[in-house]
Amino acid sequence: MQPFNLRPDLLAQEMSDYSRKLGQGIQNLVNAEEIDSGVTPRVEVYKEDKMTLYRYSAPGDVVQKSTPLLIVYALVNRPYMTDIQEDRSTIRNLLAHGQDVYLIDWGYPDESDQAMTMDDYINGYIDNCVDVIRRRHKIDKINILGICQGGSFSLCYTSMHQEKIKNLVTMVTPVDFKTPDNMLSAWVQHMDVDLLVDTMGNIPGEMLNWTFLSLKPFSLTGQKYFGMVDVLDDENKLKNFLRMEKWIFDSPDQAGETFRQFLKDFYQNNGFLNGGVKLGNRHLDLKNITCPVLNVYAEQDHLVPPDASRALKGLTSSKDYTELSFPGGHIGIYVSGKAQKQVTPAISEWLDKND
Amino acid sequence: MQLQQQYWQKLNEFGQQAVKSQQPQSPFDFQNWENAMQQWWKTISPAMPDANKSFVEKIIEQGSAFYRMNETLASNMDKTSDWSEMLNKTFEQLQSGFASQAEKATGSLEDGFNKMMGYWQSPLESWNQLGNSIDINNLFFKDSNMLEKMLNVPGLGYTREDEERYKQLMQSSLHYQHAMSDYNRFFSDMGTQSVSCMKDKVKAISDKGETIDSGRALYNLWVSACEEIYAKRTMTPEYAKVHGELVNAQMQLKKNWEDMVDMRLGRMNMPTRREIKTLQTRLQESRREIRSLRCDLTQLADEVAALKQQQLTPAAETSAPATAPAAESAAPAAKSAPRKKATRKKAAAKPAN
Repeated sequence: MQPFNLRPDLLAQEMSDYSRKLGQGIQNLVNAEEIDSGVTPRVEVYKEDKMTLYRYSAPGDVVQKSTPLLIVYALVNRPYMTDIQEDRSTIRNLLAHGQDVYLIDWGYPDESDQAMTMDDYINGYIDNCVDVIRRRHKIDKINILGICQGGSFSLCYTSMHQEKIKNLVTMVTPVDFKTPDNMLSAWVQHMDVDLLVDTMGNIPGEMLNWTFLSLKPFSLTGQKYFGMVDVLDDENKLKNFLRMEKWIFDSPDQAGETFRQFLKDFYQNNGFLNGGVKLGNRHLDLKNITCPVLNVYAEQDHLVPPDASRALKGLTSSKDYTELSFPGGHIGIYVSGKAQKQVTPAISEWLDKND
Repeated sequence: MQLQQQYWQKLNEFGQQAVKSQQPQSPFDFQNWENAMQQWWKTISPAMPDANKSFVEKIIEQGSAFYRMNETLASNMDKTSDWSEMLNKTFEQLQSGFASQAEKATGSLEDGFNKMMGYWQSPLESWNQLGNSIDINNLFFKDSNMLEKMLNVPGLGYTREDEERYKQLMQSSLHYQHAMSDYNRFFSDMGTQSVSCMKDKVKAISDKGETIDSGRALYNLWVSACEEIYAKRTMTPEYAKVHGELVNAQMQLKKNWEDMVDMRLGRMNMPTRREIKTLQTRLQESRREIRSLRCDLTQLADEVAALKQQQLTPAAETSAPATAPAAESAAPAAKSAPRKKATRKKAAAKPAN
């Protein structure tokens, strides 16, 4: 059977429609307002170097739970992805379900931060933030939610400070860095990471951007902009597109020593599974984790494949381990309408059950 | 702002009017659709803010690629009823059209393929941007074998060390050139494989009894074919190796260059990168040590407070009640000591675990 049902006049109509949408939509693009980053009100409660700990303001009519929740985001990209727009905000949704939400904003490292190690981030910044929250609420333990690399950091932290953590939630967190479908991992196996860091110092955000675009170059650098014409004439859709665009390319540099250890110990040596990871003077051992664990992953995640997250099962000593899968991608798990209806309420419900 | 908007609207209308004569007189006059869009863009782009211009140029480039595909496809639809032959001809023409332009400009067939996809950031371009501090092309020579032999000759005399450093820089630039060639060669047959994958996809659609009804659907199918081949090729151990080699070669070249810059700066008694890095490392180590000492101090303070509490407690039982509140208030005062400013890592006391 002839697979093409293409008529020249319809093709011409398509091209005419494209031109028209482009012409009409350009005005919206030029007149687009400044893109905000984060929509939920928050206050700064603690600051150290470039790192800031924020507490989000809950809606007035919501009774907050007694155990606060600290969100630890990745160093890669900016944490306002979790609060990107009013109707697609994981943070806003958590607040609406009564969670008392704190978030660590790592800021933008510069050349003076090159010597910062994973130990500095995890046993320094994260530990200080946890202590600040514990003192403010006069409690011994808090809940922690780690996202992507932040989830890896949260696993490291909890294994070393289990006495301070009540419940641990990991979202799209890589645990097994060498699953067969992990493209990023495959690409770094022959890289001399020491030479890279010794040469570059901090790893530029642009370099990471390019790497992530290279995972799907045709769709992310071409098809996406072609399809953008379809939203040009709708100011709200255009604004949402531009917000995502801003977030995608708003990549902080990575502190050199942290990047060195993360790539060598985890991407190359698969530290969670094979051991051998040291933070400061302490060896990492996930078996030290005994609190309840909720492991959330995305089924179409091309950055952290599902198997990479699911590998957490059995690695801790937790007697209450739960998995939650979401039929979406690495970003969709925060910003899609479906995720707001499924994932965030499920997390909140699980936290309440274990409160 | 309102005035700006009115200006923009009028300019846009003018642009559309101005190119009306360039627009295809008939919907089947495919040659001029792309020209019309390009002309419209030329008219309005000077008035567009720079911040938006590059963004819109990406959209225009994709639109051009889409138009080109549709135009070539439509022109072949009349020539044959065999869809497989039509698809082959379409992509051959697209590829050769870009290849001849690219070959004239850059001598590279690979650029031709990348342009066909409107892939505005080819790997070659990206790596050149990453290695931005070095004008690598000036370091290349035509006869690299002869040059490598010359570079292996050991240096002599007073300037021996300097000479060795320069040779290392040259050698690393040659190595980078080889690594880049290997990387580009890896992708050289991707175009053919993508067309083959595209044909398989079209056949699969046909076998299901479905049809491709629009240019957009065809374009999306082409993108998915390219992504599929790309993903397959870049997940191979071979790619991991050429990718790793390329990164390592570029970093080595950059490092050698930086070392030479540092050496020159040092000779001028200027601060060097190496020096600053050493200072940063020592500073961070000192901060860690201070953090650790502060933790120890906090712990000691807690222990001292606990001991004092123990000592005072027997005295509190035998003495007048008036002294008891003073003893009790000593411990809370220690625990609730005001938190020091944010640059210090630990407060005076923590809640008991």
